[in-house]
Amino acid sequence: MSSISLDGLTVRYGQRLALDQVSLDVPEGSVYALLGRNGAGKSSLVRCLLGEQKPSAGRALLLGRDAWRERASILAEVGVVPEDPNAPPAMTARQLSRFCSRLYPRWDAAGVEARLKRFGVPAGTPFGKLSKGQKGQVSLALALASSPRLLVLDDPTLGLDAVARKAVFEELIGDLADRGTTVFITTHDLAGVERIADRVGILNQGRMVLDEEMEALKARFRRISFPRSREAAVGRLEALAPVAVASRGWEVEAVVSKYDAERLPVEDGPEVTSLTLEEIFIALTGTPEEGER
Amino acid sequence: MRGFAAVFGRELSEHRMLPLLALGLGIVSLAAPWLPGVPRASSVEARSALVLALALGLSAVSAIFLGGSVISRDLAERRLGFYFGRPLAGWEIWAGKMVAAVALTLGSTLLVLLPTALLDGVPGPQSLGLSVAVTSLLLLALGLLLVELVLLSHAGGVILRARSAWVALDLAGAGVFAILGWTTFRRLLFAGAALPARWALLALAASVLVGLLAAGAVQVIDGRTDPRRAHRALSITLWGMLLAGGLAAQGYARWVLAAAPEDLGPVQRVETSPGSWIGVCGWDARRRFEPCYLVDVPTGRFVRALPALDMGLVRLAVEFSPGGRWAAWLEPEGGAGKPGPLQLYRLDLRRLKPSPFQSNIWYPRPPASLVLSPDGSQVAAIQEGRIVVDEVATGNRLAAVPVPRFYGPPSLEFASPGRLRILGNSVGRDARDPVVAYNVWQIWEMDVSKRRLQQTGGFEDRLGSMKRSPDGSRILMRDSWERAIELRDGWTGRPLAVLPWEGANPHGMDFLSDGRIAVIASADGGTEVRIFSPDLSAGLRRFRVPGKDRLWLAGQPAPDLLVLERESLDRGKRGRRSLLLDLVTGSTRDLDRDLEPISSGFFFSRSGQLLQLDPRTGGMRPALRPEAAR
Repeated sequence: MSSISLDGLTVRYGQRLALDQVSLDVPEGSVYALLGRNGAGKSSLVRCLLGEQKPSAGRALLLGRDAWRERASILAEVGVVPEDPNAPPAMTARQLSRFCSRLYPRWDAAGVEARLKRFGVPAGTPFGKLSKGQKGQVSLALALASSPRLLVLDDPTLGLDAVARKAVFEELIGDLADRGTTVFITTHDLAGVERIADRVGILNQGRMVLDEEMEALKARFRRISFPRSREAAVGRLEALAPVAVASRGWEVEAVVSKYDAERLPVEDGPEVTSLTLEEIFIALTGTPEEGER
Repeated sequence: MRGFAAVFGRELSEHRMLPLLALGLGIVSLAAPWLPGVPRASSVEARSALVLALALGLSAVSAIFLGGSVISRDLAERRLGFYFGRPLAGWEIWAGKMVAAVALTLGSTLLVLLPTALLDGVPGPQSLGLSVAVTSLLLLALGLLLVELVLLSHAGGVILRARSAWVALDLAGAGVFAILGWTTFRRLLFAGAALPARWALLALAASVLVGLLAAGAVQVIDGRTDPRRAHRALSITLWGMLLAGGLAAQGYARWVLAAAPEDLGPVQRVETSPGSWIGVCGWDARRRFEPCYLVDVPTGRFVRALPALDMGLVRLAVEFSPGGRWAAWLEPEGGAGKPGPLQLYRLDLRRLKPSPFQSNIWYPRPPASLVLSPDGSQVAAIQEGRIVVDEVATGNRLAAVPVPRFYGPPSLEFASPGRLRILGNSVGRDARDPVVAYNVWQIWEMDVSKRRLQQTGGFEDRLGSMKRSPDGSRILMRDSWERAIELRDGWTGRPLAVLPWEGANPHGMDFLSDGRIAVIASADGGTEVRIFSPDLSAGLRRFRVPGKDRLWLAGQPAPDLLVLERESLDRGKRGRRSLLLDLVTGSTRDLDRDLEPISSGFFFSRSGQLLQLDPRTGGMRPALRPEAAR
């Protein structure tokens, strides 16, 4: 069963198309990373998922139910970490925990205290006086306290330093290991998410340009380098579906999306290297000058 | 409900300083008697005044502040997502926050009052000169006003903070609603429908309350965290509902103002004319107001006219021309029953589709006397000690001449257009016994074109009574000293005939429509009605009505039919009743005891319904229902 199912999701703001017929499925227990440049439509998609935004067309199902119409009941089983932590500024983390405990069927107040302690966030300080990173950590602690079946994280590491980013992902990995929660995460921290994501989706200008298992994705993307003297071989890259080709010094570098060791453009020693998620993302969403096809 | 309680509690907690501030203000106001300039004796009054001012001030500020911030600030600062990211229904978020705002506002008001109430006690409604019911209504109205202020501030907060183009709809909606509301209220009030106007106003206020409630809820439930979408949801709901309310109020006003004479329940006043038209005012029980009409009784044709305030009474100031062709009446500039300038309207009663002519003639105050010339072209009135004559079509003033010195306002009558007769009286004293006073009647004539008054005659009247013929050419007098009836020339006062009376005094006399003279007098064992020729020279008929009753002439519904009203002189049979006298056959017929004659064959039933005698059948029919509908 899918924890999240989007079907032809479209969002318009007046004349502007923010999401264009986006469809995806997130299987239960998986970690789905939605990537995209700023303005790609990630926030609109998350807002639709959380029932804050009514789609112009299509629909968003969370845990099998319509996110717009059954938002309140669905959210009893969903933990949310918003992009911009938005709790009332006068409330302390402890007060927030007490407030939330009245809304969810299950609530692990001790777990919230423990996590905040691990993060090093003071539980008695008003939310408005915490740093942005600490606010995000409070949000994560609150999102995990209800033992949700689904966790929606909208760029949870935005504005966090390296240590805080690491803490967030470690917390997630720990929680996933404990409960097998489905996670839907949008992030710019590709290195961080690469370690935990099972599946990746990439949004570009409101369109879903990629939706694939992480392993398969990484297996089919390669960087192939060969000497510039063999430039004529570029024509033979077509079979490997190149997404970016560039000349760098004495070499030609190509990123291909259908790597096949049997169909390399040159026989004698082209250099083939694996790509990180970040490199794949840049190759797919960069400007045409940077190699986008 | 769990979510509602959580949000409600959270808002109370966030604004917990407000009740403390209110209590602090309440305690501070206890010191009012020690303020400079406050006399010791009025310390309780000073404290009450200060605490009331503080309570009202704080409640208004709280309502505006809380209403304008509890949701709209979170929405504008993107913090509403905190609630929408939780398992909270939209209505729980809206209701939790708004109910908390209302509770804080009302609670703070009470907390300001609490210390003074504990010290001085709560004043009972009687001490304020109010009944319990009125006090309860006032408190309820104040509470609702605060709730409305909270909701209004909420809507205003969303509109101002969203900064979206939907503000154009808000401005247009507010303008349209204000125009609809104002025109509804003004139209009803102008027509004298004060109660329907009050209801319409209450309904409009209720529609604002309901509209604000619904719009606020829809804004949160449907608009959720998007300020522009929230603004759109609020504006469409609010102005949609208010527009519907405004149009419904307009429809209600239209229904009220579409009242017709046949809808009148009890009729309060009737003015009859020489023709078939009457002026009538009465209570429309369904519409709950008292409209006035000019009605053509046989056909049911009518026009509505506004009543004027005259000598403390609200009445239809209508005059019919001598021939019954025209009607003129005065409508107040400020609406039915309002003091102020009065405008003259004229109606041609012979037109099939009666359409009032709105003249340019204005009177600053109700004139003491108003008459219309037989051709309807001129109108004369007494205004501020002057006789003024105006041309109806143009509004031009033809003459304004000081009224001769009279004891009271004289009566005016057009002999013809341009010739006005004035009959006024002064008090004369008997030379032998100055205690004895009598009326000295003076007849004047005014040549309108020359703007000149000239006395044309006069006569004395010693404690008798007087009747003028419908055309004003003759005067009938009863001289109780001389025990005689005199007929005089209406234009000079010169005696035309004297009818000595033998036996009991005549106690009623009048001109009949054909010029004959009817006299009523007691006779042996009964009462007589005698009919004389127009010059009083010949007694034509004599009818005897058995019983020791006093009789009065109460109308002539047909040329040969008189309505007499009689009052029994027997102690055990007190009370009045009417009877019909047929001048051809001499037969009499008692009418229903509950009928009260007005004139010209019109009667009031006990329930106040206006009835008209059918001379052919002798039966009664509702006068204000057109014949076709009967």
